[in-house]
Amino acid sequence: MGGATVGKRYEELGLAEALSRRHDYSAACHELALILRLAYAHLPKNLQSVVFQDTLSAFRLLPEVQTGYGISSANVLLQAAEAALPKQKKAIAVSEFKHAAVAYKRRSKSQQDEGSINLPHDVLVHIFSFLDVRSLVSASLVCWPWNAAATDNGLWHMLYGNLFHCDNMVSGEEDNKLVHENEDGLTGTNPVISVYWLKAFRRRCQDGLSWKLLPARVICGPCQSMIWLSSISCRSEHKCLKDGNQKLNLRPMLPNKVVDYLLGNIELEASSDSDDSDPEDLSQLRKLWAYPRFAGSN
Amino acid sequence: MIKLVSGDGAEFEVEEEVAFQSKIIKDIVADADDVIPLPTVSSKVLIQVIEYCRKHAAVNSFPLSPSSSAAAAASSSSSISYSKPVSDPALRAWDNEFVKLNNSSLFDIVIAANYLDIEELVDLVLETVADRIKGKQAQEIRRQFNIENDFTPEEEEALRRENSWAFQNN
Repeated sequence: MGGATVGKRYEELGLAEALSRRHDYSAACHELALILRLAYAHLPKNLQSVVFQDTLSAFRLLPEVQTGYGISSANVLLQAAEAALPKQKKAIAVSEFKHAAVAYKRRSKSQQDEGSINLPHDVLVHIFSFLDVRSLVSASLVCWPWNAAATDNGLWHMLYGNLFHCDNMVSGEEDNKLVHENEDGLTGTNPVISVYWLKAFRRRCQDGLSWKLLPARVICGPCQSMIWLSSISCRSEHKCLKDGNQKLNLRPMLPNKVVDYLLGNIELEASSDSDDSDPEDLSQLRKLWAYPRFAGSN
Repeated sequence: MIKLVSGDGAEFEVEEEVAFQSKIIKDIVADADDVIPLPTVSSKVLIQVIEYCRKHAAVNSFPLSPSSSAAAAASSSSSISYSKPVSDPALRAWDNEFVKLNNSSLFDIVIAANYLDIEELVDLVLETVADRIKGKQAQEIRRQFNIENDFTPEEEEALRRENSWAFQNN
């Protein structure tokens, strides 16, 4: 693998931009930390210095971030920097971090937004339509009125569609299992099937092997691009969905995969890691179970 | 010219194309006169809203309205229909400066913009609020917006457990 292509792949990861977005800062720090630990030694000199500069700018941005996730992931990055960087660079990184930590504390004391207002339910739902999955879940844990708005079925329906794709309002069989759980109390006269999309979502993340850890990034099968999960909300779907691509196929990309990709060990092509996608996971599971059944039928 | 009167009695003269950023005002002017009282909007907020409308009227001038409403109609097949984000980068930068306000000022604007039916402004402000929520934990959001935690410890624990799937790798 030539230096140019590693450099290009690193650029493609978009870590510098991600660090400057507060909601992606934490995930970007974790990836950068992993790159320092696992890949730094194998990178060409010029790219090493880019990674080093990005590490420094991660620390510089810490005071702007002001979240608990931010400070803890900056710590993870610091440990990686201490482990991976040569002496001189290590010293620079450590002192940059110390400055940042002081500025972070100073700013968190001064930051206190005055005044609160009770926003009406529909305004809250409108606000939440701009949120990604994880932020929406956090919003649901704030208070009861926010919980009511953040669990709005319409929001979760759109999010589900934007991530997992469902061509029909009432989607495939697997989702219909969720439907029946909630039919008890309300005695509607028409047998409209209703799907509780938050439950559908939860199931997907709890049961689906590869979605189990809600990933920071996903790969789009058809266009082979990496997408930050935080960029997908009810309002913003991935362009493949917008273009009406017949089948949306987003697969999680975990941080170790990001490092593998950077080092050229894997490709983004659908084939190379299709064994990660949910249908494949299921079929692998089925394969496990298939053997005795097959043996029995013989 | 159209005269807008704020809740505290201040009068503002604005050009039609500025005032017509608000669909409500457009409707009122169509079948009434040119002095429009806005009793629920304070002059401080009205000044900000007019500033926004003036800027957007100048940039949008006239080309947008027919095509964008057609596009909106086409995309409103789903239950919730959303307006499109502002595409002009210079205007977008201006918008970003415009919303550098504290939360309560933003909420005042959104209530006025909602009342006046200025869709783009509502979206702009609410997306800004959403950006202040993104990437934060519940406790940090409460602090940011000065919200009281009305869960009992048991309720909070139950919710947290139910939603742990979203946070496992953090």
